[in-house]
Amino acid sequence: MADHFDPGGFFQFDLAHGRVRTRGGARVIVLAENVLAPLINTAVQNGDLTAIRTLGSQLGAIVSQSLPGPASSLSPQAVISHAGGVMSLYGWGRLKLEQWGGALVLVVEGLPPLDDDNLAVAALLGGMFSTLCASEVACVPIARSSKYIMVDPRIAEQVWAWSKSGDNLATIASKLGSPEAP
Amino acid sequence: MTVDRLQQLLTRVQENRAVPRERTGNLPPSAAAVAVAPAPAPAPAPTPIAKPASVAAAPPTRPAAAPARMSQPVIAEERVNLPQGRNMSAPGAQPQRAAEPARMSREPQPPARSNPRERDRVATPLEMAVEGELNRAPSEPPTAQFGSQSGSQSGSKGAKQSPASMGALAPDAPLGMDDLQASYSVEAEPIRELTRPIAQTVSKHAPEVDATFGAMLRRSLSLRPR
Repeated sequence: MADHFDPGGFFQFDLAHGRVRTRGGARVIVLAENVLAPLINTAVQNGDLTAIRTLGSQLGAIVSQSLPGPASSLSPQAVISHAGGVMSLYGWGRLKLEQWGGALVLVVEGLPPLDDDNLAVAALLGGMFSTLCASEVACVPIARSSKYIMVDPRIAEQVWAWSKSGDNLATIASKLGSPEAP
Repeated sequence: MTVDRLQQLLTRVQENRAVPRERTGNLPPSAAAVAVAPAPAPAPAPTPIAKPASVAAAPPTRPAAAPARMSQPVIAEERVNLPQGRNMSAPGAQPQRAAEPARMSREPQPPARSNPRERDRVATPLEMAVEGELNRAPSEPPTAQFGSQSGSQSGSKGAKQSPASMGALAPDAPLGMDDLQASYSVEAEPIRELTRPIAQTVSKHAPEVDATFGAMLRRSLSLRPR
């Protein structure tokens, strides 16, 4: 296994039958971003982002297969390199990782405008890292930014409320603390 | 009485006319100049200053061998003091210059003169200079005149001397052939190949348990509102 994700030969274009398949055999459809954005906005308005989260889980499975071992035992750089490679391959922007205190923060740059609150990307990231780390992860978008804080799903509503009220990432990170800490 | 007086006067006039003609007109011009000029220093001998009289007893090939070399006092003096019949190219001939004998042995030797009269005759500086220029190869540039150093290297070695290295030499310093060679033959020592890298990693530990992505994610998921 390489340190970076190998995108070579990932997509197979069967032009005779009009199919596009991934390396694992899953069939995909290439969509224009201006077609995908209305679909995502409709899902957000309906409050059901299950499809986007499922897509994230599929991406997480692809990342997990490309990793040399369990993601939890690898360095953050190795995990983010592979996860970012898969996201770039699917056209979901460039992925980076930051740490604010004890909180992990994902940064996705270069995304096309989909929904106003970036809830679709948050669902995608949540599904991907939940599958990748075999643990339920909620990625809460920070308002007016391209950052997503990774928290327990049980406190995701509270963090989202802070973000909607105008708290920036530093304020939100300071409001969070480990229960074991004094 | 009057006639005798006139004849005497005429005779004296003729004598007076004859006397200046004898004093100035019969003497050579150089003698007249010596009489007018102030007392000169001891007249230079026809032989060059750097060449003592004992040089006349030196081997006959030496003046023609390095004509310009003779203008360098130190080198000429060392050769003059050599005992007769001693081999110049032998390593023990000049113990103070260990590298010079080999170099001198490479110098082209002029043809030996067979005429005993010419062998005993000492060449004048003008003859030596003209002879040195005639012996020079057509492709070589004229040797630069640099005080007493110009003749220290004969043949092509003197012609190869760069102006910069020539200017770095002191005109009055008694430099030998080794000094002139060293002025442009210094080279930097080549860099040796490195046997090990300049920077070396001394520790290759695996990331700590807390630095893994799983540990960081667990910490992040354990955060709660304060």
